[in-house]
Amino acid sequence: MTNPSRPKDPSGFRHLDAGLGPALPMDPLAFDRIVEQAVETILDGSRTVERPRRPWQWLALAAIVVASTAGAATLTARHFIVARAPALASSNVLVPLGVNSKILHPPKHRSNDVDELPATATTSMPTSPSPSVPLPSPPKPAAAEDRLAQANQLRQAGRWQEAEAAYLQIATHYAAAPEAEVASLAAAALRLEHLSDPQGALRLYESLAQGGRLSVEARFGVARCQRALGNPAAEAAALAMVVELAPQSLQADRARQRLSQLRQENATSLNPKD
Amino acid sequence: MGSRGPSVAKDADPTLDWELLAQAQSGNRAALSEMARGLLPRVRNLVRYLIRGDTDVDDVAQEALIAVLRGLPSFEGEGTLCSWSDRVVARTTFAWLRRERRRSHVVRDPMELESQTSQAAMPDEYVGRRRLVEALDELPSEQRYVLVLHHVLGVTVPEIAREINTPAETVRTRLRTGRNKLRVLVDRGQPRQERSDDEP
Repeated sequence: MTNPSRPKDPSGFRHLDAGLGPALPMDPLAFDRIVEQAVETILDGSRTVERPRRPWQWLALAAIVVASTAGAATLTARHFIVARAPALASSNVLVPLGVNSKILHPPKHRSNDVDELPATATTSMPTSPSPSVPLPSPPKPAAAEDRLAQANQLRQAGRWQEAEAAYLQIATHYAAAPEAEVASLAAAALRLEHLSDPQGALRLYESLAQGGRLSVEARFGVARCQRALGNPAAEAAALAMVVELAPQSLQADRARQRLSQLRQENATSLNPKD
Repeated sequence: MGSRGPSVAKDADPTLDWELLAQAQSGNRAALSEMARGLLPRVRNLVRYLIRGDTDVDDVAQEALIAVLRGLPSFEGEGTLCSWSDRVVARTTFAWLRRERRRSHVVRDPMELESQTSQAAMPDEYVGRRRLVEALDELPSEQRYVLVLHHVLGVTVPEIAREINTPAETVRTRLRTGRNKLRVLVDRGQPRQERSDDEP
């Protein structure tokens, strides 16, 4: 089937392999999860086959399925074949003619050339498996906590922009969760420290500084941004606010130190040595 | 194992661990897991070639991997396991694309943004592949699909036409049009920049 001389493409198509790209590198835990889930799906299907099968059971099952799907205009019994391979799918499962059925049970008249691509996508058969087929369930939506952990891993891996995007997504999609504020703070820090975007960081910090349990951290972030933007007066104002809001906090200690530095710098600039 | 005998089958893919394959075909958990781990990177790469963006790659790859593992007993050793697996993956992905066709616009997920810093740290081959798929992301799905089948998997035009039930001439047109567009995009060098104005 394969073209012996692969067509030369000036656009630079790379060959396909298991190496790096074009898919993004994958988190090892997520990789393991996909493998495990796939294997479980296969084995779950094969385990249900162990019951002995009798011809009348097939007919009864077929009748039940046909009756239950009679309302579906495009589905009829003749569109289905019964999976008989015990190692593969449940004996109670009817597999629609489609992608998988061609793989499981090639028709007898099919040529031995496995390179022939059957036009499975071309038929009027539904491409979605019958509801009775144990579908490979897509991964369930992650909780905010899981998403935050993933974003943290991206940050730890130095993938700043991806991490920032992941944090922002948490802040958007899980706005009511406590993780949202943490994520916004983390995104702001990334912008300031790694993405050279103090203005963008300032916007985020200012939105967080209005309320919430992390407002002190956010105000301290505002001060850092103002420093990066070269606005000492605004920086000092933000630092003063931190000290006022949480005088016993670690941020307040740092704010006082910085305020002291700013006063010294200001005094030096007012009294040049020459 | 194969209809032409195991020795002939093994010649077709001398790198394949036939013992492992046999165990996986019989439902051995450890063997299935090892095969899945070996196949998944290639599956993900092919899925990324075929679909737009990174968001859905792992979902589709999982679906495709299950299809491959489920179909292992039918692999008779003609051709390599990888080329057989690629066809299963392509079919599964195509089925997914048909289901997703209802979405007229793919909303660009901010998670698709890739750090330029992380790209700079990666090998040239990876960077090249990423740029290629980013250019492919700008093409209509039907052009993209035939380009990948033809130039990545080496599927011939008649076979593509049969697979997607489309006249061969239409396939050739899509290849030609897709290649021309891709050439412009790749030559331009940074397809993302064109979209940066549209991103929020």
